Amino acid sequence: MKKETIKNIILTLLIVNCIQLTAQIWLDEKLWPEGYDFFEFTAQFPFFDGIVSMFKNVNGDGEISDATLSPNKVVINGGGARIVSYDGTDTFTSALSLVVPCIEEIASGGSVSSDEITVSQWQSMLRAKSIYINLGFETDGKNVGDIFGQPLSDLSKVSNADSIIIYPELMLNCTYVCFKNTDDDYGVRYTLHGHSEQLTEFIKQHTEGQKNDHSFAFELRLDKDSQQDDWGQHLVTFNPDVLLSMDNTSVSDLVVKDVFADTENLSKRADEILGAFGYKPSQIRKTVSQDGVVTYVENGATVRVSPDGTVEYNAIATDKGIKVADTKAQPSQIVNEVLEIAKTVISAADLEDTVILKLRTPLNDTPVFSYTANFTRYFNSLPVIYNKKGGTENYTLTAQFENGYIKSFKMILQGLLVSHEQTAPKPILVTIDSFCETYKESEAITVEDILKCYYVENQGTYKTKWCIKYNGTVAVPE
Amino acid sequence: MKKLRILSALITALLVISFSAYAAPATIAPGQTGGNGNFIVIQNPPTDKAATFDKSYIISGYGKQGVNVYIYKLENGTYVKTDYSWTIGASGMFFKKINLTKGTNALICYAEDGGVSQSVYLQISYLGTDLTNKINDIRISLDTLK
Repeated sequence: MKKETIKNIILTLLIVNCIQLTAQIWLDEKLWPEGYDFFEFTAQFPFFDGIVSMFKNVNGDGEISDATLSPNKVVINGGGARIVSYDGTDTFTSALSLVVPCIEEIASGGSVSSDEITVSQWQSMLRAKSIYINLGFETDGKNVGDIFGQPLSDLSKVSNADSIIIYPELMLNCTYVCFKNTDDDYGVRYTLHGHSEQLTEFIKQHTEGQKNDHSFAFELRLDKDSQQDDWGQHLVTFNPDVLLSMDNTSVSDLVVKDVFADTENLSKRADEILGAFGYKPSQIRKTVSQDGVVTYVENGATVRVSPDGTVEYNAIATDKGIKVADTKAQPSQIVNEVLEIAKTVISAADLEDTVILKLRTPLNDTPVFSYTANFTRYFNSLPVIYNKKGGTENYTLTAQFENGYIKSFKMILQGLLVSHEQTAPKPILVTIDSFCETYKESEAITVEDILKCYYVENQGTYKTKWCIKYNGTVAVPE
Repeated sequence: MKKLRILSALITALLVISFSAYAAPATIAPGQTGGNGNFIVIQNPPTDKAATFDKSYIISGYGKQGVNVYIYKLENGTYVKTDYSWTIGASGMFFKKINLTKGTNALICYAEDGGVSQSVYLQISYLGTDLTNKINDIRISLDTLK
């Protein structure tokens, strides 16, 4: 080949490369005023869209829903019949829409009185016509106000609440809003005028004609042990507000799909995910192990992306992590930072889903040096729990904050779909018995909660099961 | 040969008697003593008498693993075995929803293990919905008080 021809080829390649790199820079940044971007505009036309997509880094439309602080469940007590509703259902939304004006009235101050209530009074309200809201995590008054969209005011007496009761007192035309603080034996009760007729009508509408298939543990007195030591076996007790369900309704099975189609896709997506932690692939050493795990090693941290969808970030020292604050930070600030990283990871992984991550760690306003943010993914209104090699993993996302930095971040990515098949879980007592048969510890068992869940491993279809939360950990018996 | 037949008959009779002794009886006469077993503790109802406005009631408690529990109901002067029965599992706990008839439901929780039994007498009254409706209709408002 002549020298001239070779020179022309090299020059052509260099020019094309320049154009390609320039286009990438231009397309990733919005250059024009808000609402207008020439390249986004031209991408609407099929021919130009094809050209634009060649240069643009295309990430998924996946995002995180804004239900992170949404309550765990709402129980509508009819004084006999009782129904349970979860996030994503009309009943759940309708119940919360009635609660918001009550919280608004408390938050705005005014003629609202408050007093302390005992456990016995709390339980009496659960037996009667009321609405019980389980938040799923402990929080203070300020954050309760934020959850229900109301500004901070007189919710200062709520220090560490994980549940709320709305109790309409029809005869006196007033409504009690009670918060149960987990750090003492008392609750806080706010008394509001009105709301009772509307709330009573709502409760009647949703519980009339329904069966009583759900009982709180204190109603069955299973929160107290039998004082019998001579049977030689573990006896189980429940936290008083644990809801025991005798409802055997079938629930749709869950289909789990791997996020990364193959090794090449994993490698490409891993490069994108790296950006969530502030790195570019060109800056950092990348290796791929035999089992397909992509690892990036930098002086201060490592990032690992596994074929099963696990994304891990670990800083070798606290001050090498992702900076959030100088030293202390409010848990709400930490949670927001973690969710921002998670959002970028989801988008970079090309997930199309709206991922529902619910906070499962106490949230209050006091700045802290150390905080672990745990989130459980919910799908089809049920939590997704993972059966991993190291054991049961309750959380989809876990991040550790220390002295101003996010030191570690771990997230499990999976594509989830609802199956056409439906299955009823085993009776709750059968599950508890199965659990006790394999329980080898000497510590007594106190069940903190028992709830339906999807217990998943890798790609496949999974039926719903019962998850038992006890002694600070979880188990999902067969 | 004759001795062999007599021996076989004796062994068969012994087996039949022992199995009969282990199986819960079809009926229990009122006032019959409850056996000296210590197998179950009833948590709900907290006492031997309870009342409810619901058509069903959940009997709950703790017991020894492997014990069989049966529910008997008083009908025409005799406690008759119902379809409600269960075996206590490894958790030691049980809770069973029982449908009630209107009025007083006299029940026995009969626990049995290895030929030894324990009877716990309960009386659960179903008050029905008429009284509930009457209470629900009472409403006090400012207009009523004026």
